[in-house]
Amino acid sequence: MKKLTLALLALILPFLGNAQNFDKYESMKEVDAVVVTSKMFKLLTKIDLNADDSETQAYIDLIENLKEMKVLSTTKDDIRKQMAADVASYIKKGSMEELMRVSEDGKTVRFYYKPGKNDDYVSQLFMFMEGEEKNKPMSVILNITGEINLAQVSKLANDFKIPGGKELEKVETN
Amino acid sequence: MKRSVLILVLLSLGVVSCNNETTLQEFYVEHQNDNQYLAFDIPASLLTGNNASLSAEQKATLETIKKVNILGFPLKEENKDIYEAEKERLASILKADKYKQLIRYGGGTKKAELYYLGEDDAIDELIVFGSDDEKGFGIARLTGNDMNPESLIRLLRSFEEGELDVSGLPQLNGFLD
Repeated sequence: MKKLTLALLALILPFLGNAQNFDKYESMKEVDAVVVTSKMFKLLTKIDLNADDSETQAYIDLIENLKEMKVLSTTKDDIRKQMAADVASYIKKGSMEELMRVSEDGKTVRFYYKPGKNDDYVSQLFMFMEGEEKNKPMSVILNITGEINLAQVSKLANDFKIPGGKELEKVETN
Repeated sequence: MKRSVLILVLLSLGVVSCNNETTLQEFYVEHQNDNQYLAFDIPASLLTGNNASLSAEQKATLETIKKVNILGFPLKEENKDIYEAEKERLASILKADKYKQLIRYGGGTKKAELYYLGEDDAIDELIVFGSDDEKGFGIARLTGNDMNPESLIRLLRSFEEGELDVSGLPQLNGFLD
């Protein structure tokens, strides 16, 4: 009996561990959360159908293969601290690699990623921004999962006008 | 050992069948005469006025929209318990796979979720579920027949540009206040 429970736990834990980290923020009153699902991305590809040029086609390819985009933002000090601590431990545990780090106008933006199927793609793009927005201290977590072409991801910034969204424009590929 | 597996299986089956039990439509029918609720059932033809200036394509899109129905639950002192329970019930109905979640938002006491029913190029129903723990919750459904998302968006844009006459709408606003 005990063994079974343990086995079950062992099965379930990895899933919980992954998701639980930031899910709690979604239901917090002090946190603004926006989640865009893969179905939304699929629908968007139906709408942006003027794919005459290869640029648009590349963008559609990007969107079609996105799984989820989640943005969590808060201006409350204690939550910001908690977020920073959670991000630090998440990065350590989650085998994420640092992509880039930008500091400007009192903002620090850090990007992390998980490698994808090949060098051009990542399977997760994680951004953590600490700084100010409209004269208020603010922290923003932006997490995108799916098959992400880093060369295309900056274009998302135009379509999703969300906190921290414009930071995506900074993502460069070398 | 075996028994616990059996229980697990039964439990999971129970969860699955519960989800399939009620649909949003049934929930709506169940509550449209409930005095805790406000219910509106508005045919699309009533929402729009004279649309003679619309193009044939826009008219065709408009034709695919059947009606809008809205179910609102205004929160009062005395119905707080029911509010929580009913909100929870709606949330669990919407967890069924056929309701495809597009986007969800939460901030402060407010929450909003957008769903659709049907295929991604032929939408049968567009659903907005919103709640504010200080005011109440509401669910709005735009039902139609194979609504095409692309033409729907185009129609909405023409609405923004003032081409689409929605003279029926102001009256509705009065209702909700």
